[in-house]
Amino acid sequence: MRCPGRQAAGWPVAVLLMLAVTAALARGVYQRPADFVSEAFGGAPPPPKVVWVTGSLRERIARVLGHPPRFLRVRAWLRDGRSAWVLEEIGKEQPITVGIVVDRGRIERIRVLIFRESRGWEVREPFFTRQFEGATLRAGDELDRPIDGISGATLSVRALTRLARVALLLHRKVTAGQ
Amino acid sequence: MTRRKPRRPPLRSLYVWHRWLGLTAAALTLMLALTGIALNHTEALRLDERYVRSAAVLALYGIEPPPVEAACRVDGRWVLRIGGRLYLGATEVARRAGPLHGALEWNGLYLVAAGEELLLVDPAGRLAERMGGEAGVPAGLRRIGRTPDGRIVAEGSHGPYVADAELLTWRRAAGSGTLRWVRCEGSPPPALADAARAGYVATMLPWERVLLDLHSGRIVGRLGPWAMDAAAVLLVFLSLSGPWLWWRQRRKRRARRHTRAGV
Repeated sequence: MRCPGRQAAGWPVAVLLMLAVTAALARGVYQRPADFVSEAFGGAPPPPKVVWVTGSLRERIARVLGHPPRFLRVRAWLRDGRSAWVLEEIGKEQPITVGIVVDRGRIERIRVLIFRESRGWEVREPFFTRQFEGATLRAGDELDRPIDGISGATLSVRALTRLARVALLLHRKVTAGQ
Repeated sequence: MTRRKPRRPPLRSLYVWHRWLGLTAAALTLMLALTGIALNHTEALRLDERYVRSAAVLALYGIEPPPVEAACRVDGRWVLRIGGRLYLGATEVARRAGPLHGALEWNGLYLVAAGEELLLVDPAGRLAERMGGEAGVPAGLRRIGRTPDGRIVAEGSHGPYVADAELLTWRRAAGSGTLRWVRCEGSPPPALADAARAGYVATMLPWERVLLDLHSGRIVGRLGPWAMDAAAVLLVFLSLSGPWLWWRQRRKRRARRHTRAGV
């Protein structure tokens, strides 16, 4: 005979287990940065080049991030007006590694490559990252469109939005002479 | 004949309870309320980025500066690893760094081999780049050095690899016998080590943690949460006794008014 009381008592345990499993699954490497870069250039990426983040570029990036960038130089893969970037920004406590491809000043794709936080993993879902496609910078180094947030993932959303703006700034810098 | 003591009205006794329990709960309630308000605004107040420097509070948590785990002298400066963090002199470079293998000067910057990574650091102690396996750094990194013509070489578990001029790509090094490896030797000056260790301790305990512990009562140990639970129970009692007393008083006043009107 089934015991309703025991069945009801099992629910909280099941919910807690589900939450723990979800948190564990959320963390991880979704795509290796090297694979992202390779995929961005059809399997034949150009050799990387170095961009030094100093002077006015550093100041603008610091304004976008809300703190000084945690890097002084960054790698860029650049060919025919397209550039690929692998950048990191802390969501709440851990850095989120994000791959971004910029094509002629507009974001072509953005992808969460490594997620280390226990919450906010929803930012890796295409329904969220699709919002960035085609985005460019307007005055004040802001994106030209609003990005809808996700409840419970505010800090991750903020981190991705800021990195998108940083990638567009860096793209401008490396393509300025072209 | 014995004189009977006049019976104290129950309402008055509830008043007394309400007053004394209110006073007892006041201090804990104030603490709960103030810490709760502050914790609700952790981001705005940057409580997770501000650290406790008070020796008394740090001692309460049993926090002591860890020893210097490894030190490398490079170009007249010292690179230190303390509690898993990396320092250039007394300046913190990275919160997370593997065991130190070596450090050398490179184009006006410092290249530090720590764990499986190479960290590029500017003279001000700012991290320029963190390079791991994804950046082509040899797996199983053990030591770094130079080729006879001054290029950077790193030895991994598959042997030595030499970097290009910008440390972007690595290829297998030939003639490992001629490579000059750097080693971490000596001890930093005690004053420098103490300054770095003091800096470490000053960034260990965020105010958010202290407020959380004050809020839950854990700051005073295992009994703290029980004291806070007791305060919460008192609050429940007060929130019931208060309206009850008010309602009784109101009924009494109305009854008096009616009596006077009847006269």
